Amino acid sequence: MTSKLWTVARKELKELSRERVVLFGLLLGPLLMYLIMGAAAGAAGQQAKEAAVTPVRIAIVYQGPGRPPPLLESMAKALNATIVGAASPENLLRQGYDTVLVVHEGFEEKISTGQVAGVTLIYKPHSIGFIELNKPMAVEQAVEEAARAAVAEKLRQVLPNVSAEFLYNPVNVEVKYYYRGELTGYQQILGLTLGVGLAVPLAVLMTAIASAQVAAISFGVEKEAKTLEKLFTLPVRRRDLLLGKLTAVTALALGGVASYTAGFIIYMYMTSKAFATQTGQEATQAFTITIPHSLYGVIAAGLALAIYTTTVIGFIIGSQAQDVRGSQMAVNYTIFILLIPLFPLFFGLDPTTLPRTVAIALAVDPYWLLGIATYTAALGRTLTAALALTALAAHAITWTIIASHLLNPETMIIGHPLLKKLTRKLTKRKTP
Amino acid sequence: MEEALTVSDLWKRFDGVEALRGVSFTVGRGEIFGLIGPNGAGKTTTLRIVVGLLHPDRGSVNVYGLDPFRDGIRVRKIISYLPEEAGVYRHLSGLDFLKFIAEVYAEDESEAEDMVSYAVQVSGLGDRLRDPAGTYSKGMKRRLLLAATLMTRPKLAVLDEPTSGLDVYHSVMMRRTIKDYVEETGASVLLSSHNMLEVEYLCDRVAFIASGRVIAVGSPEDLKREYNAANLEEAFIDAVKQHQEGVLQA
Repeated sequence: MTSKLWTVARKELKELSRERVVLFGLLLGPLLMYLIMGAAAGAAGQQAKEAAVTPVRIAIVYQGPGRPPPLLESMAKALNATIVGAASPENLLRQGYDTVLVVHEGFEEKISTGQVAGVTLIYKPHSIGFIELNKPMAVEQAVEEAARAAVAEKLRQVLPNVSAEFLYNPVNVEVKYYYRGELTGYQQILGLTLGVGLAVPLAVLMTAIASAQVAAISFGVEKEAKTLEKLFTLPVRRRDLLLGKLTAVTALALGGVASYTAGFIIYMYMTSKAFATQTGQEATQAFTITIPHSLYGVIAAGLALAIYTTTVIGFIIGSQAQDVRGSQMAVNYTIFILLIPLFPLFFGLDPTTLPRTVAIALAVDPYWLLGIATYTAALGRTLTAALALTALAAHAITWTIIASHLLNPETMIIGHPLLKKLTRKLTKRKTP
Repeated sequence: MEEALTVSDLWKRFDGVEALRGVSFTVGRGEIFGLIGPNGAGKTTTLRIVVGLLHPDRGSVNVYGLDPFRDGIRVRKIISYLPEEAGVYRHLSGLDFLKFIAEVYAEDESEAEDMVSYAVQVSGLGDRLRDPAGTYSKGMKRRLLLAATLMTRPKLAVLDEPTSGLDVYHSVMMRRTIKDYVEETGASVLLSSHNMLEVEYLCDRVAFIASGRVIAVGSPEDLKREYNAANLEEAFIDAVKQHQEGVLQA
């Protein structure tokens, strides 16, 4: 005979997996959401491509001997850039320039002899948001156009009717990002942006909402069907009842994670395709994302803790609701409030730049802690990541203790006295 | 008669209102005992305390020598509860529901199979047991729940308004099932009801309960004699009236 815990878990799985709300929320929801988001990302990529170069301060560092060549001067004029001597690009970026274009020795000679001259474009992102990542692509395009225009201008001395658009691309621009004192490549910053700034908040959003909803619904279903009293009088330990429910909810949440992953892959492909169009890469090439290996452990531990905490919160909310709809609404409001601090991450906010007091105050929110843990781990700040994970574990323990007090038959059947008082106050109508 | 259940001086307060004010009674082994009272008299609260769902503020409950709060699992193993407004899982079939209950109680698979086949017979639902329970009528749900309650062969079955909301046909079926079960197994039943006919037909002894107090206990015949009433309904009305007068005088 299997243990009571599995018997309860099997019953839960059978009942919950047939609930329309659960089916839609867990399996179809993430897929649909990502399809819509993928299309939106494609449109956003196109817009970014079409947009003019955002006013950025460009410095051109000429590494050759003597004065900058005339070709470079006309390029600088077209780009509204300043040519500086052999200065350190890092210093210039620290001084307030957004972009430094490093032009190597023999630039003009190469172009004059029909070769392609290599230049390095170093961009300092102000955040690691999606749109910010697009900016150097636009600058890169502007540099190429300026180079072609400069070559065309020179050619016109011999061939007056030559047009820049028919010329070959005279420069090969290598794009680098200067982020937090280090030079990183496109793939690395893409990994950080999409992997941490986008994937983690989205993973939390989907899995947390899914597990909290299923947890709340599992009690909502019992309340609506009026099966709770029967359930609590079965010869099963209360701990096993809750663990059985937790097992079923986790299994369903994992189904949600699978659906989320499938949706995310589709979304990433669509997004990468939009990127590839701008960068001239193949979609599959742009699709390669580098997420630091150390981050996987932090994401897994953080997600597990966040999902557990959310599930327990879902149980508590569901246990006090009257039916499925009530439990779903209450849990949605709660989770939405808890997720609000994560939204700025979508737009590229670096959470480590927040004032310390704000960051500490936000530690009451388990999702925020997960955001901090993944971000700091991505940046190699293991101590902060470990602290955030520890705080997250403390959340899990605290909510388990609260649940052990609230999830008892008496509170669930007749309601918690404080909550009843509050409900009465809120629903009190003045008689005319 | 040895006691299956002893309820002593139960007190319970909800939101400042005394729901129970010293409820005491005993249920003998093999006895069907009825709690009769108007709405809000404290019947359901008493039953919920007996099965360990609610803690009394004061007083004690003893089920076959066990305390439902200290020996929770052991007590829940020998009792079975049918709540008044109990429902069924919408998406589980009746058969799946019975299997779930059987697996929780049974020690091995063959015991679970025995329980299920007994419940299938008691429920009388036939092939409909394979349909989702959400599609059942109220009568079918109640029969399924009674079958689930009795299939575990409880030594004490606690039934809150077992025939509430059922038509005559289904009510009669339910009563017969309860009576047959007690005759077959020698188990005890504690039930609450509004239906005096039902109580007279089923119960060996009854307790009248009003305003959280037990105001009279005895067999239906004894109570009718005590209140010089033609039927149990009249005896109950007289008992309540006398109790209210006593309260007013006090």
